[in-house]
Amino acid sequence: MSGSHRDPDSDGAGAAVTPVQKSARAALIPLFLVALGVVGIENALTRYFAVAKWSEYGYWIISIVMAGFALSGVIVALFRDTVEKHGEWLRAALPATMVLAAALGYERIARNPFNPLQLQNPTTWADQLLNIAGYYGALLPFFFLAGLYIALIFILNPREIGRVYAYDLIGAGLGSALALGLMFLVHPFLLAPVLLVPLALAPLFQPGRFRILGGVLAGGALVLGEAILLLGTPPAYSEFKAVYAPMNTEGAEVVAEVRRPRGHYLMLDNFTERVDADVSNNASMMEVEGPPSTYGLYRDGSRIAALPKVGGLGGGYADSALSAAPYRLRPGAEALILGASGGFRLAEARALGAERLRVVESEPVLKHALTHGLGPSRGLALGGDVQLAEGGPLAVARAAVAAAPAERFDVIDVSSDFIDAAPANVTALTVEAMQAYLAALEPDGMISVPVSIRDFPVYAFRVMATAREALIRTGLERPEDHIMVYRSAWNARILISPTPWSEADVAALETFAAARSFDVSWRPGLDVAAARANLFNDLPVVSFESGTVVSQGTDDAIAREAEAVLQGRDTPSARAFNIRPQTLDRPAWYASLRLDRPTTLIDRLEVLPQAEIGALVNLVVLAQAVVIALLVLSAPLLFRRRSHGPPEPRRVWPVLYFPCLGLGFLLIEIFLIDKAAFYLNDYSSAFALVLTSMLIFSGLGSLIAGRVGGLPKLASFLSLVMVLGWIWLVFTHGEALILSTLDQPAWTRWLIVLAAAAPVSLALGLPFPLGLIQVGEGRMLPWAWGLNGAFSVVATPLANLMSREVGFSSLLMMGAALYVLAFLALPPGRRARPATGPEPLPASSPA
Amino acid sequence: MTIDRRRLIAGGAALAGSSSLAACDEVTRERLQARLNPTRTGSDAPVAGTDAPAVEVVADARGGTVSETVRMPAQPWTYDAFVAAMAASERPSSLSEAQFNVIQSRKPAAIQRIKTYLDGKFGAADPRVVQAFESVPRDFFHYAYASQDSTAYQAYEASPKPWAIGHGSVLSDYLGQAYMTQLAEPKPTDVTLEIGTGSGFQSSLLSRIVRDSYTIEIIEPVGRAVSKIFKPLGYDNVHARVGDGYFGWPEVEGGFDTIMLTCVAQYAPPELFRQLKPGGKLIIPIGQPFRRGQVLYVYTKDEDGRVRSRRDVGVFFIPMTGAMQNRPRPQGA
Repeated sequence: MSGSHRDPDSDGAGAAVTPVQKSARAALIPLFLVALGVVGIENALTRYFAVAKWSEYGYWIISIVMAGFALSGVIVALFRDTVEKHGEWLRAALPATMVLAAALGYERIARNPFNPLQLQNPTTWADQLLNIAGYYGALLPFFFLAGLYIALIFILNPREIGRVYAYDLIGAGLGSALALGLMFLVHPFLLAPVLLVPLALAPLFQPGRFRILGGVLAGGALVLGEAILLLGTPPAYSEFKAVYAPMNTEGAEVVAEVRRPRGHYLMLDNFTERVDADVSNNASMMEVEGPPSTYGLYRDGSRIAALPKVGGLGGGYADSALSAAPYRLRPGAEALILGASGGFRLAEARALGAERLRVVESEPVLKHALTHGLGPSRGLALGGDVQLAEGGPLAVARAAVAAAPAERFDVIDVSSDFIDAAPANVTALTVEAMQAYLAALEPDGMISVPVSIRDFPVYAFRVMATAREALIRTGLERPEDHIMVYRSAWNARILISPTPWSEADVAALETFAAARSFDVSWRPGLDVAAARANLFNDLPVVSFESGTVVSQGTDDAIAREAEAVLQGRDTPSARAFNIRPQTLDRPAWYASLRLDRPTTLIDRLEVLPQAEIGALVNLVVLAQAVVIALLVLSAPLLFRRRSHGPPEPRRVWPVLYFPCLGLGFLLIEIFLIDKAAFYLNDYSSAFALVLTSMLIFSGLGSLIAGRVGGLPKLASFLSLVMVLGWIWLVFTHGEALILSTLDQPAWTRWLIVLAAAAPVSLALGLPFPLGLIQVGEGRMLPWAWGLNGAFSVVATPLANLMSREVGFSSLLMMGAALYVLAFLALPPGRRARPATGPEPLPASSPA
Repeated sequence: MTIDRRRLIAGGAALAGSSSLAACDEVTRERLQARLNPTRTGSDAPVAGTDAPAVEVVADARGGTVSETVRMPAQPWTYDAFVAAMAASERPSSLSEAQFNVIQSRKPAAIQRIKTYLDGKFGAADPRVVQAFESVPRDFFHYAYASQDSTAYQAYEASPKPWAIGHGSVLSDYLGQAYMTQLAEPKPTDVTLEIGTGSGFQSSLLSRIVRDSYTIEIIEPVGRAVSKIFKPLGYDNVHARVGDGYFGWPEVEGGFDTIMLTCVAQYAPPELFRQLKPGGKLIIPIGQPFRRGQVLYVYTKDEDGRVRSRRDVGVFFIPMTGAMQNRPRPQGA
């Protein structure tokens, strides 16, 4: 084959592209498809776990993914020469094996009876550990084969490292985008069958003599794989998820379905669906009607809201509910309501006499249901005295402060289901948010914050500590005078005022509570002993550490410690739990466990709330990831002398370099996702935007690596300067930029996120291929690939724990340190051989 | 998204035409509806919501008899009796006689565990509760309803644990059930209501002590299957129903001494408090069902109708020294 032309994208500046190079690049299209398919399957598995089981166990999936990649890197490193020798047919056959492995693995996990609820019981957890092992057995083969394929492409294209990595990253980025797009159309349980297709197509684009064979094998595997997925054990909801029982009542129907990346929504009509209102135990004595029947809206099997039936938006029960107090203390209130609860919170507020309502609804499907209806549930007639606000709680509060004083609120009311309705909503209860709310209130206004005390009263202390910090930052000296707490058996409500509570307000709250059998756990001047003597709802004090009931007789665990918490003093709860204030940097809500006390946590495992188990899962995944990473790190000790090929000097720098990159990239990515989630007021779109853009732009960055491979230290230095400069800008100006543009339209904020992610991603794309070029063409190349993957596994649970314990800013600081270390570790470099001049033809070349 | 699993016990609000009241005459129905919705003006228009589903009343709601002693089986519980009862309850079983005998050999140790456990938790085990455990053949209640096979081999295990029985239902561990039963302080004149029949074991246990034991299951496949297991045992004072538990069992005149919500609940429905007798207890376990026992909310109703609640954490947390001595000993202990 003759003919060449000048190609400015070739590895040598301005050099002609040879047929060999053209062929080599064409061979990367299958890699692009494989990367696309693998990430797509990974997304499909994550969604399976979120829908069929519970989403926190998706971390385990990610760890299995990366463990497969890491192990494949080790195997390829150990048998590098053999793998290369058989590389051509392996490259053709692997996609077919991957298709089959994916199908078999997915079907096996659908059969796996894993029940995470049994992990909390020492008499039942052993069987569940076996089930987890079953997941590994089912999924590791697919991800091992995927890693094997990618490592193979690296060793078959040693002069195209930057390009190989670029195709891999861009394929992965587009795979993620494809999977997310499919989630709008395809049921979560059908994602895997669709995403097998790119894998099966890969061999068709492979130049060389095995193309036809590879295509036939992949086609056959695809047919068999689809049969396995569609005819085998179907995936299903766990029978212990909230949706199961309602779906199995007589006459139950699914009346609407919505498919989104953030979740699979089902709207049910059955006799169990009612408004979730914490009404007085004495509602019958109050002669109020009960909460009406409704439709139930479920997301990934968990109930998130009640939606009204025609004519069923009555608020007659509202006066008996725990949440009614602010409206009794402030008749005719102008209220900001966070979380419409399907419209019922608005109806309740209206029934309680609120005159003007602004509503923030962050959950997009609920928002749509509010305005346009969903299925047979009609939307509300908004306008007039009820306005739907754009943006999140902080943005709306800040806008009210910036606007005329007439825009201030008497009540800022957080609905009881707001925090759990959308992941980004946790930022609504941070110190910064409360400061904004306080500023948006009338002088005698109040914030009303709900807290479930069903599992632990400690959540009430966290909110109180957060409120205390917000009041102090606002310049108020005695936070205890600005807070009142009252409760039922199940929930507490914390009222926060910018001015000290008056005696009239205190008396009004006590009257309200007494009439409804609620208890006041804190108000200025509370006589705790007297309050405990006449409780309606006993809440004993227990010692989490010793496992004893401290109370003798009726007690109020919140009243006992409220004053001390509000004064910032040490308390038993502060010693046993994490009750530090939540901030935008450390916003996690279900983060009350002290992870530095593992023995106590194991002893009390059975009483831990389900929502807190995620942190323990993280610890286990982290431990596993560290073990795997150390195994991969030590793999070169098993390298024997090669029988042919150039001798490989022992090098130490990759041991530091590649782990630093694997960790650093993920830490920065997770930081960006969290900030974007708050900024866009939606975790799912933030995840999609950040992940896709980072993968694509870092892929573009790695394309540059080939051109600058001869000056690795300089190129790495420039990349480092860019990364550190970006981190410095984020630290110094990031929060200000976010807060000042919170009120911008959604598309503007999307562009800002993209503009923030793109430059750093370009820079982050350089170091890895630069390092691979430096390790050369031997066994170190696939090993380095596996090492990077192994430490990426460590990064996710580590980042989760760091953000929980220290804050998201710690991820940036650690990321900066890691990239500095990597730069220092990178040697001045050997000159990369240019990709011009005579080359031995790869076996795939048609020439 | 967090995993705040909940089992809903609310029900349809359309009482007009509700077949749950079909057995009542018009006057009784109107009286019940007025009590349930005091704000209604007397119109037959439903307040909101769907029509209540068809509800099957398996046994009529007339009162049973009072037995001063715990009801013990008239015949020994043999393998033949087991097989006959399983057949009568329309539940296939492949359990062999040898397996059955092994299960029965474990029972005495399990009973002793229960007694020791209750002694430790309450100061003394309630002899009626212990006898009830002796009376009710727990192996009969171990069944996998989804796969249609007996799991009796699990019964009286040395390490008590909760068992999934299919369709999201769980047979709680026997120590936790013993705890909740003694906490309820059942008496021979009591009438009890359980929302969440599940395996039927709890309502059966209570039925050996109390006058009448009512039970409602909302999950249709479980409820219909389990409603057939009481008659083969001769438990004619167990009254089972499949359907809505939110409104309790309003046809029972006088209400209930004990109401148990043995499925995981979010809140206690107001109507259940109406049906709770003054001095009665409403017990709600909270938390997911695979723990060994549960933290319990215990509601009591004063003579003036005021309801108070207490959080009982005794399954997981032991009292500090001195508190145990303050517990009243059960009658006969």
